[in-house]
Amino acid sequence: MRKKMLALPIVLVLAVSLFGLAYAHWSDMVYIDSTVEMGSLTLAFDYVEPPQCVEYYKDPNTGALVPGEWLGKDVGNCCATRLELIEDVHTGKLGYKLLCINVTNAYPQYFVHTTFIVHNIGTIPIHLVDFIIWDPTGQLDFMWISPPPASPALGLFYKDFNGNQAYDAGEEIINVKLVNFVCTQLDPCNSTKGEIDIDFKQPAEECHTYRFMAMLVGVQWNKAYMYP
Amino acid sequence: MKSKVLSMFLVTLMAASIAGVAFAHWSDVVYIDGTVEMGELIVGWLDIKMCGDNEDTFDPVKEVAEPECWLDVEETSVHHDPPQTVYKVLYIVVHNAYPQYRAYCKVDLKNAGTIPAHIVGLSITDPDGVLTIEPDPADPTHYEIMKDVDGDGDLEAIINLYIYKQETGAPLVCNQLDPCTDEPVDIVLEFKQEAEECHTYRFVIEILAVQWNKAYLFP
Repeated sequence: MRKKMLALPIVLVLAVSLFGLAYAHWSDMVYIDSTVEMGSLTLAFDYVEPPQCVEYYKDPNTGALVPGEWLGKDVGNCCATRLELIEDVHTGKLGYKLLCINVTNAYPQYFVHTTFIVHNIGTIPIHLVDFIIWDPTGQLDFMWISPPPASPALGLFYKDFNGNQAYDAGEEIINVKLVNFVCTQLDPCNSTKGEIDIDFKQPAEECHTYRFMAMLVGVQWNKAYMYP
Repeated sequence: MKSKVLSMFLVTLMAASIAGVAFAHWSDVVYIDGTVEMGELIVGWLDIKMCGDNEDTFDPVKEVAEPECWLDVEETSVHHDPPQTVYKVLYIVVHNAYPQYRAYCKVDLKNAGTIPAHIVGLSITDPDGVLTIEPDPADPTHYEIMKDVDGDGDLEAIINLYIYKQETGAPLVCNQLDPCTDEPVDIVLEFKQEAEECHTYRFVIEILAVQWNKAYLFP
């Protein structure tokens, strides 16, 4: 019994010394102080150059578009304005999120071409992947005839007069042509000019107000492959 | 069992992280808001200035026949302020007519819409199908209303119809009418010797106006 009592403190001493050996050693550290500054992906309508609306008519003899209106009359009007000013927090650059195109007193065979600039005011390259267009009032349907990334991309708004849930000849209201946007890469600080052209077809109704919304979608360039 | 749960958790975590890599990307959009207000093309009769005849030129002056004119089928432009109402149909009824009687109607044709109109055609038809109406090749304001009155196979002119611009005497067709402007028009009916007694003749004049930029389609 005494031997056991003697062995116990020895074991304890040994154990403590072992632990002591484990902890009592020099140590040193290095640190990693990491700061990540995220970039910004900001697509905007150009702050400097305003959009421009131009009227045309088609010369019946040549088929060419001629600026102005038939016989020099001033009948229809169009204007394009930018709204919703934004500032990119990284670059401090300004731009607009919304482009309003207003056409008044339109009539069949009235052509309105709107040119505008979209600008990458952020710090990440942008790939323009889609152009989505729709009528927020629901009275018109839109379909692409030659969808983006074809440039020009062609589509039309039609009104389903006979209610068969499909487009039929004679239901077209507005032709839409989109030039030079989809599938374009915009590096930071770069911009591209394109246009959206609309012209009105014979079935367009008198005294009606038509409205359309369009959304130009850009994603970070390295993810563009997800939008084939 | 414990290791199975652990490995399942790890697999889920890996899958989520892979999915995270796939979906977590930035995107931005800009919007275009387009509004189109369509204009309107309304051409119609604005009002009747005068409806008369030539009986005061006869000697002695008598009140025998009587022309009557009125407007119907109104259409109001929604763009004008105040709203402008015009009429689509001008009725002219001549009571108790006789040869050498001449009735006339002075009316205003108005473009009450917002789009310039071009008058491209004027057609005269007989809804009863008994009359033949032919334009006079020598006078574009003159139309001959004819009928084979005596049954010999030849058409006889029974009414001369004239329709022209009051100010210049020019024909209506091939004229432009800008929005908010009106064109005074004279319509004259001249009854010929061959017109039959106690008969009622009816004819309809249709004036076709199209948007001015499409007039080339109507040469």
